[in-house]
Amino acid sequence: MSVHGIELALYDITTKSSVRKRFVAEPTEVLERYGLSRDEQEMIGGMNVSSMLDVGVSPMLTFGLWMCVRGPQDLPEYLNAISGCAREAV
Amino acid sequence: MANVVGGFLMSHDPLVFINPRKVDSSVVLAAYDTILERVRQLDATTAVIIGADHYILFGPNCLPQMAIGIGDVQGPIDPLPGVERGGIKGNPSLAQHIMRVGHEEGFDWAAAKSINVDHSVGIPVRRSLPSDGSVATIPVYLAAGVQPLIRTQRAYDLGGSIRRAIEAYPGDERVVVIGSGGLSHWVGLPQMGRINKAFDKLILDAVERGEPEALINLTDDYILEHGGNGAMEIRQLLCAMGAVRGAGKVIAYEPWDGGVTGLGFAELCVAS
Repeated sequence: MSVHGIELALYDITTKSSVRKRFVAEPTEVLERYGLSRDEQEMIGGMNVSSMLDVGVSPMLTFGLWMCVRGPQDLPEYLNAISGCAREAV
Repeated sequence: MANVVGGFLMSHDPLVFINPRKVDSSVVLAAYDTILERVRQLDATTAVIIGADHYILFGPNCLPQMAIGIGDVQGPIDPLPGVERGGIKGNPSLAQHIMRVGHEEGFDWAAAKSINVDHSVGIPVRRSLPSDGSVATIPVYLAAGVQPLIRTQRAYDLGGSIRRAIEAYPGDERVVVIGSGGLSHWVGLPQMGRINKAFDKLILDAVERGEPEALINLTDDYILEHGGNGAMEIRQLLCAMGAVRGAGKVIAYEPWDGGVTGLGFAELCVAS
């Protein structure tokens, strides 16, 4: 697919509660709807936010995904997860 | 004739309200209250609030450069402790007038006939406008969080169009314009949590001098390096400065360690 396909999946997960609940319960079933490659699906399903940033996904969405699924109390874990990322762009 | 009677700049960090580290936020909350009191003193009837989308309202299927709420308004869509949610009194007549004038002047507004605002508009509404609904809200969104971003000059010029539209409106509206955007902050990036006080001072000094050019001329690369991706929201500040035109006075600045943003609050003087 493309970074845009990843962003569409993340946008739906972060802004639509029904998609988010389904993603938490059955991530593969949700991610198969977006025409993503197996690697891209595994990146999202595995909450690999550092890799998402590396391929150019908006940090608004990687952060939003983490906050929606893990909650704001997990901010330190998010920062730890992306600590090796060199991404600086919007 | 309607008039712009005041202007304000403010930050909208959600962490001030979530406050996961339980840090004293009283100075920040007091700044919102100070603006609320000034809005009351100015006897405002409508607030044009210029916010930034955070990939919450607009998705990859459509990312407007500039959008205005011309009908029903509610929010904020993202729940925050201490920030009321629900219906927000709008001003569809004036909003549609601003849109029409903009279209005539070459500003291609996207129109939101029904909008559930995010925290960038919701926090100013709920914390700095009277809760009795005596001040209506016109939500405006400028692309500052998701590429492609609106150019800084364009954001400033759009503020001028908003001002001209308000002054051509055949009513007695007393309008305040609020630019809702952060100073230095890195959203979702490894530098998240860094606050650059020198960058924040550069921004607020330009506001106090009434020199929008100093902000317009900052390149995106410079802003990214020194202020982070969140500081792209100087576009929201510039739009308000373009509408109000006068120099500013800083109400409060807090590099608050309970959050991730340099928090700035200022009042803009109305210039003719």
